[in-house]
Amino acid sequence: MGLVGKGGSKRSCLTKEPPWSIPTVAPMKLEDRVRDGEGLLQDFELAAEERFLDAQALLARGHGTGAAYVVGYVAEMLLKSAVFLFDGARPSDLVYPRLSPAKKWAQKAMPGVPFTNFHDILFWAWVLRKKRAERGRALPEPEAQNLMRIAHRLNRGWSVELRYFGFEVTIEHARRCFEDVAWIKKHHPLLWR
Amino acid sequence: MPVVTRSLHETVTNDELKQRLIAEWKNGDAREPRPTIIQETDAQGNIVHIYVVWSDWGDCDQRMRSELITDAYWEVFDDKALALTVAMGLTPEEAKRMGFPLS
Repeated sequence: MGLVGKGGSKRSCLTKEPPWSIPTVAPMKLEDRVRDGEGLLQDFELAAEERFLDAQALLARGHGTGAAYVVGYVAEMLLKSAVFLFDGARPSDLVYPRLSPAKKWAQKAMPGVPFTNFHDILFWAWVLRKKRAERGRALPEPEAQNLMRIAHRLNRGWSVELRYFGFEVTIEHARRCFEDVAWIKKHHPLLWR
Repeated sequence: MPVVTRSLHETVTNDELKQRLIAEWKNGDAREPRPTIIQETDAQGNIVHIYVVWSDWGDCDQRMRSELITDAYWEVFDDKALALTVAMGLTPEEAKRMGFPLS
């Protein structure tokens, strides 16, 4: 193919056409994404990165309620993705078909653990810990204990209902939530591998 | 403008869908249209993924389909269902659109 020019003039190497054709995929409309709800596992991981940065920016501006609210979802997404990756999911797999089987499994394998809804951070931490232990791949004890300590703390200080709160969440509380979620984010590979 | 009368009565209820799935797993439901159930196993032979392609899913949303499949499967197989990690319901049109293999 070589250099392709218009009107006889050569383009620079930086604009050289690639020797393969790049398929053009129309981006999914926002309305369709909203309707479909959760997407792929890889969407969760990217969203978790972005919401973490959003929370950091809110924290820097002193918006405690917003920062705590947003960062809680990062914990939820990372714990769900850790459970599903440990179960053998690939990044390109859909999330929603894995939710009900995980819930049913937990009802049977851990009848004492309450399930509030699919946003329940403590529930997902228990599922991860128990699944790993049952398959003989328990988390190292210090990390397992820290995960549960953090999940309990987030369970007490975060819920999706924070969206109805005004400026009631102190910056100290938000910072604590942020630090807890930062631990989960840092240890995410350890949680599922 | 012509008069249009629409029934708000659900033609197929969620419980009916679940009962028909249970019947299909137990002895093959005689009622048409029957679901096509695809079960994938892990290295130990445990069923880990279930896909149900069925024209009767109709307006049932995807999360509900997943829940109905999971509940029905657990009701029939009990502890054997512990290995289940994916439950997904698709209409034949959706399966075709996704290029989902039916065998």
